[in-house]
Amino acid sequence: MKRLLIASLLLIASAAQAKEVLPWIENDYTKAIARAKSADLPVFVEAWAPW
Amino acid sequence: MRAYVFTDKSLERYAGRFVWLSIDTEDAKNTAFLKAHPISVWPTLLILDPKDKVVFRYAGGGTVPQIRKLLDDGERAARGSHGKADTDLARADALAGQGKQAEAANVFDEAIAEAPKNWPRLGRASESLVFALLQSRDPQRCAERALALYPRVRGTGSAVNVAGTGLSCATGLDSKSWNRSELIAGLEKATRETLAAADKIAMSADDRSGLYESLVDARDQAKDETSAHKLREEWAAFLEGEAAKAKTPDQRAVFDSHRLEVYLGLKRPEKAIAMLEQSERDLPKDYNPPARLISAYRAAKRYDDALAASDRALKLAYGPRKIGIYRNRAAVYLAKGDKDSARKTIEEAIHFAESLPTEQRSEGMIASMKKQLDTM
Repeated sequence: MKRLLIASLLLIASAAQAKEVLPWIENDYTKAIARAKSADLPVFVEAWAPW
Repeated sequence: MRAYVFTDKSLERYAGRFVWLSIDTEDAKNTAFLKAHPISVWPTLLILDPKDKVVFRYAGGGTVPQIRKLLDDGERAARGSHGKADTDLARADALAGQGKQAEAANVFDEAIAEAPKNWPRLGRASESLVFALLQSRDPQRCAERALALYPRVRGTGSAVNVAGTGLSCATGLDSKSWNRSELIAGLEKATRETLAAADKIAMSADDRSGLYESLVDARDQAKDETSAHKLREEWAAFLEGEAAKAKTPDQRAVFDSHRLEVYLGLKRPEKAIAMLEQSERDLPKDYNPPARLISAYRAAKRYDDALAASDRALKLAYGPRKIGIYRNRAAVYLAKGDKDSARKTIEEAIHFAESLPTEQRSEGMIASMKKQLDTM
């Protein structure tokens, strides 16, 4: 199903609102891994495209 | 998902349990991530352990309850798994994360074979298996495994991807497949059944739309114009209802690509043009509305409007997506009978594609455009 793509479109809708619930790190892989190592936490990644 | 799912207050309790990373795969800043974790399905959800190893992978989006389950499963996987099926599932996720889809499929199958009764991860493992087979270009096994697994996931959110993706694999089979008709018939029935149960299953609007798309493709392939048309009408009505419920232009625009596809299929480009022009006015920084307008204007034979839309889209777009815009622009020139401009546009697209970072560069795409040039 090609329709998987659409879910990623939802991401661009309201990033500001999302930050109220979950503390996203935007497009900074190095920072996320460094934080995961220091806090010993897993990293949740959402890989998307603005299609 | 961030507008409808990740804003849900019930996810707050997970905030401190993960580091949350959002990756726009079109952005050249993310090439280091893409080198380590190749992405070929959008969206893809990953959970990495603190040493950057993939312990959980899921291709696709989901509803809030599905995401909560994914987070619970992923957290469990990051802490270390327990039974043999869980160990194999984590290994298969890691292989899929490295782009080794055929190997991953074999290990997903092993996990399913070893699964204890009522294994809570059967649904996700089944979806992942079918996706891995689709991506490893094994449509025969993809359709066969989807049909075999469907009864075990019937009536759950996983039925959406197992039935819908399985049907896409089945319709992609060539006529040499000995059981193509049987697979299509079985998976069409499963997809229809899942769609009919949409209100009972936790299913997002895009999942539901995806099921319509798979069913329409199957009827198109069967050259059953009457059923395909009827399905498209039903699909269009569903999408219009969802778009009408949207509270913001951003939320409404989420359905634009579906609505464009269905209206082009119904040969009503004027309906698509009206809604895309509205989205372009509402979202002037988004390249998607003008990019989609190229196809809609072309279908309506409004070639100069299509070319103007492509100019606007190219100014706003970035990353590999620009290639599709160039190709669509070239198709407009061809439809207009201007071969020289079409050729020049494809040359520009090749030049742009070759300038992308390795992780975003597709040799297959470049070869396909060079082949296209040879035929022009």
